[in-house]
Amino acid sequence: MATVYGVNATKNNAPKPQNVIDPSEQGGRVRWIHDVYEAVTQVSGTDIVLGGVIPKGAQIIPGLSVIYHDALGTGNATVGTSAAGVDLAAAEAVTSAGSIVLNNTVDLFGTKTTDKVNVHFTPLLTITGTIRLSLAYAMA
Amino acid sequence: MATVYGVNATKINSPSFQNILGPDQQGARVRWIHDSYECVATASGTDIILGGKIPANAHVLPGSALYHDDLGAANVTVGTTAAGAELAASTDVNNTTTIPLNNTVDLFGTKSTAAANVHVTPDAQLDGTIRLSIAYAMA
Repeated sequence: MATVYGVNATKNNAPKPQNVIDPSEQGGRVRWIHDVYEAVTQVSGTDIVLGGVIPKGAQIIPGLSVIYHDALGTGNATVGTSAAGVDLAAAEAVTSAGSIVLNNTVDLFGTKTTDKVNVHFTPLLTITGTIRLSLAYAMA
Repeated sequence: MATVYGVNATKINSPSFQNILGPDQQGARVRWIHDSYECVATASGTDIILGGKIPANAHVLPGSALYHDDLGAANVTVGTTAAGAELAASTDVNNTTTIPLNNTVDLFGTKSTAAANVHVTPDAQLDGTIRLSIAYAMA
């Protein structure tokens, strides 16, 4: 059976100046952000900003990046890196206590931040309850 | 529409001596622990200790998990003390699957208050492999 190599594995197999692997992609440093917000009848569309700034050039890591929430009300919420953004998670129900996993699709994951950004949680309903962010990112 | 801020985002927006953010909360270092144990007729109530100690003031991160074989007709708890359930409540291990650790809004977000190991405690005999992956963040 044939053996093929990923983009970075290919570079790793043929070291030369043109093939230097982005240091955020191999042995990247991992940092973590935590924040919590207690929503009290926060109306639909409120821009809930969580945590400090994620640096430019960071890759948000699936698995370690999650928003945990109480049962917030009957409806959905989105999570992104801008107000009302959906670049970390598309609209997802928050009706029951649970979690929203972030950046966990082949299209969302793998894109570095192009600027310094915050995490924005946007409810599409009036919400009450606790929202808690865990976000890990890798960078050079 | 209004913009509101999380507890830590609020502190970052208003830097003052009172608002210094714990370095375990923003840009925290992440470390990882791995261990495995081969259960062979491991009796109910056995205190199975995995890995080295998680330091005090660490946050166990989502994605941390205990992977296991079909261990038999039993449940296990996972905690930071003998017979503890701080990381996962009693869970059926009678099939090959994964127990996610610290994955609720109530469990997650609480720092360890002392250096602690991971303890797995069965309520019936176990046979098979258990394997721990745990990541934690700290200052």
